[in-house]
Amino acid sequence: MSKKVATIGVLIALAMIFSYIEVLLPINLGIPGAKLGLANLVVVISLYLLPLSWTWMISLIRIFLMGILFGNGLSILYSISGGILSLLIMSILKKIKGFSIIGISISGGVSHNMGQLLMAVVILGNIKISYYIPILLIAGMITGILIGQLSTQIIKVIKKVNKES
Amino acid sequence: MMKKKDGILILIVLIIAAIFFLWNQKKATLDGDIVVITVDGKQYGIYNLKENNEIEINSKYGYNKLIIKNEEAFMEQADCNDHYCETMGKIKRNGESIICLPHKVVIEIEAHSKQNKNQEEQEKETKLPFDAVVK
Amino acid sequence: MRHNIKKLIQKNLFPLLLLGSFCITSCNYIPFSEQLFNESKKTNNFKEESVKREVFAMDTYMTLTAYGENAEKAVNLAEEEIIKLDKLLSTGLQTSEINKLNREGTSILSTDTAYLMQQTLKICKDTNNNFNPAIYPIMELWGFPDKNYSVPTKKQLEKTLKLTDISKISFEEETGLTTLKLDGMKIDFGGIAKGYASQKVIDIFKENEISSGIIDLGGNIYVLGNKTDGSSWHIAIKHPEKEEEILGILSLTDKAIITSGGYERYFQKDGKTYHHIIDPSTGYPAENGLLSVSIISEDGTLADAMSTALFVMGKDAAISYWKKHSDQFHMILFTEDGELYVTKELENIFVSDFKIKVIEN
Repeated sequence: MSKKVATIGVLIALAMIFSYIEVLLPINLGIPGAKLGLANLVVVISLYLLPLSWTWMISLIRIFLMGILFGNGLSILYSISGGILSLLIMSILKKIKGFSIIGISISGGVSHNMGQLLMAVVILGNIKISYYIPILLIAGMITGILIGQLSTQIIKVIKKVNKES
Repeated sequence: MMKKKDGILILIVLIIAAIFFLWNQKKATLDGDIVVITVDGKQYGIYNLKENNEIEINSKYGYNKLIIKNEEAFMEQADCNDHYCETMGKIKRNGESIICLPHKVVIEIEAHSKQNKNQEEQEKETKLPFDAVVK
Repeated sequence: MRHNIKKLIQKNLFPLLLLGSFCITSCNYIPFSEQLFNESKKTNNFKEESVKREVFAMDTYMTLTAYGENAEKAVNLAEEEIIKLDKLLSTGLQTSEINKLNREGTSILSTDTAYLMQQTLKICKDTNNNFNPAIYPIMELWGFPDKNYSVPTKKQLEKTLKLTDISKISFEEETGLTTLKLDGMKIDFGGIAKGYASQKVIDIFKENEISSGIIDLGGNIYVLGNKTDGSSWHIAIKHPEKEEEILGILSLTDKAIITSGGYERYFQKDGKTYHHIIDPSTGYPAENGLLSVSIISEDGTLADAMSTALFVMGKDAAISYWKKHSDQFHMILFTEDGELYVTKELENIFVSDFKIKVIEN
């Protein structure tokens, strides 16, 4: 139990550091509003190495804490809808099998952006936001691929370390 | 390392993106001529895209400053904490928008004169290029 | 597979519940967003809703056009206001305040009339008597009010000009108490009444949240906001001599535009043309080389008075007057030689077939 709490705590802290890095140094991907989403790295990795419920806790608690620390009520709503949708889709695709870590990460990146957009539609009541769908899809895919690549390498290392120890 | 289903997923995303892109393109072929500002779903103001302008948008949600310059509109300043809208670039085509989520501000470009007027009205307009005469 | 899905749902139960609870909280937003949607529909209707009304008052046809939810109400109130002002300011109407003042020589003016008295006296001093609210006796001499035209003799004019001396008007700003100290002095706000009326109408439009409108008070135009398609209003300026021609087109937002010229009202006698804009210093129609003067300003009252005053001054004096007051108005001068002068700020919003000369300040 204490190991669980410790692991989750460390990973939340790590995810928050990643988020904070992005707050401090927004990486310009050439697309307005697109973020690399480094925090998703932690989510993807824990999805592969830890029980699903742990991953949910890591993702949601991170979003809440970041929202409280750096955002406002509205930004929590956007992050949470993106976070929930992306983790939901990722866990389902992972169960379906046949996807690599990169594929899962792409689905996460894309659905994260779509979740946020959906929330924007609900809040703004403006349908013309559809203008951003292609940009956000592609952006989600690109960040998904990058995060997926990174995750693959890290998971490999962690598994190797675990085996050796 | 990538699997077959990854490829299918990428393909599906690309196709959906392409469909929306083409759909948007169809709408955006027209250069816009007016800028519509909406705050919290309510129309805040309409401005001419062809006239340089600085518009301060003050609402209970916060402050934004929109610049219309050289037939393009962009958000110069916002006192929200994400400043997304400032990075959204310049817009000028029909259907393009800038959105400031924290302040519920939506800036949209519309093409009015070319799109929404039928021929008869256009003919009338060429006959009388003004709205009134000072005598 | 089925087992997997069951497991999946079990594992996802907590997050699903959370998602569910978020859906419920965002349900607060759903009717909210519908409300937004309805409102935006209304704003679409709002674009369409317009009221256009023709009114005959102050001896001219007026057109009031307003766009917006309260357009009907705003136009009704505006019409009432114009008729009220007409009844207050008409020189011919026995019951008007002006008529009473002119008849009895002393009177306490109501707010509107007192404001006009104060403004016209100020403008008269500012423009060095090129605009004069006490010019009416001269106008009568020429027969302009009753259209029974005749050319007065020099002696008649000299005698009557004494009655136009505004220093013989005592006016108390606080009470509105006004006394015309000389017998036969008469006040006429004809040169400012329509401009003032346009100002009042625009105020009423604004109070009723009309964001777009245009009013045409017999050729004196005031545009409110932009057109409903977002573009500015395009106002043509009539050519003073050629009926079907215009001098050019101005793109305007939130401005009054008023033109004065001898072509508006005139009569001919013995082959000579006498127009209605009298030079208060001579008593004769102003002949200073100008055919028309257009004033563009946010202040309709000022624009109306200035168009007359600057027409009387003539080109050079008008330009030097403008240079001292360039923050108050813009102007377009059209001379007898066919030259068209515009002030600096109008250069980019005025389109003309004529070659325009820009007045720098």
